[in-house]
Amino acid sequence: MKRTYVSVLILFLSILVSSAQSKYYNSGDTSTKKKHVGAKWLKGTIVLLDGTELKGDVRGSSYTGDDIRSFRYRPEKDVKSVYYKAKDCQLVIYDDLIVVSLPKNLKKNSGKRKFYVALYYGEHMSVLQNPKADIASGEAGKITFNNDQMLSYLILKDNDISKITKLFFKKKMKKLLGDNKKFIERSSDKKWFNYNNLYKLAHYYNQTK
Amino acid sequence: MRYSIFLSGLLLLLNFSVKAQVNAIKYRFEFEQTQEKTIAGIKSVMNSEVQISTAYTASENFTKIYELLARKYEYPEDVIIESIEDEKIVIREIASKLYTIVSLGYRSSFDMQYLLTFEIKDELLVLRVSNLKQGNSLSTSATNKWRNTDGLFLHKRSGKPKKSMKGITDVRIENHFNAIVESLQQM
Repeated sequence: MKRTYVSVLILFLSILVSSAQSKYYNSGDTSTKKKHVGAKWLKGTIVLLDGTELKGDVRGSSYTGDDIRSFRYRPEKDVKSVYYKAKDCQLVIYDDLIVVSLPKNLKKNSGKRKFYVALYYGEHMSVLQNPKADIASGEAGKITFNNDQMLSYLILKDNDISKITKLFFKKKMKKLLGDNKKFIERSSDKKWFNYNNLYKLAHYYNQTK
Repeated sequence: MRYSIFLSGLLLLLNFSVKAQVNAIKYRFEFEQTQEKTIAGIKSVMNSEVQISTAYTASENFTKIYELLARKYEYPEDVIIESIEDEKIVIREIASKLYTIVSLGYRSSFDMQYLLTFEIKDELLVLRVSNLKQGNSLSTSATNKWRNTDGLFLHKRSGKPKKSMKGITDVRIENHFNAIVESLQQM
């Protein structure tokens, strides 16, 4: 009897948590340049592990190199701020940036959690910024295209993270997202199916899945 | 006596509430001046939603909106960000060079990005505009790409209209959204 109550409670909580998350699906930022969480107070939301949404001012608090480690939140100006680490949240909206908190072991939903900045956050797959990605940079006196562009991304799909690189992008994407017939059909459109269009590709996959 | 005073008071209240409801419903998008004054001037905001009467059921309205999007876009999925059958469709669109300012004879135009929500009911559609932003869709810069535009400063602090914007920026934006309203009325 007690076990039934517990499983009903877990089911209820998981529905609550997923509905809070689903509000933020299909959004992100189209640019493939590296995005940073700033230390300036901006409007934002913190979605806690239980699905509670904290709306107010948010800013980056501690960093390891460029990677965000924790956020500060305050409901309004002149109110004492509170720290939030990846272990406390599901996701953070900082201005228009979506930062997802994921556990090390995605399949078992266990292990230390870490923040990932999302290029695109979707229901069936998401594109996350790779903290170890190389970035295109120009040399003095040379013309470079796509300066500051991230040369690799992480694809979050079916509780698994896979790395895609600009170099073998098309082959890897077709392999990863081959379960969507409409996506594969459209991939023959060379103008559409390219690395710079990653946000739109992810959106189309999610919408047609 | 008391009863008639109470009754007339109630009728007056009812009258006010009906009037308030009628005033709240809008059928076209238009900017209205607010009381908000900043360094940039006096702010004007556009009503966020309009109602459109149709002759169709919710299911027919849903199909017709989808068809409308399919005529405009080869892949409507590119712009649809949420779709609940017979209830609502939310799209994110970019209108190029919609935000226009004319200063000293020079015209500067910026793109506008917004969310359009089609709330679908029987014989009724509610069209809602939100998250209006201005920027440049071709810009590759990660920061400052889109700036939130929740209103226009069409008047100077003195109350005088700004020649560079009043009758230009507001009218262009109103016309753009009212053209969508008209296309929904004609579908």
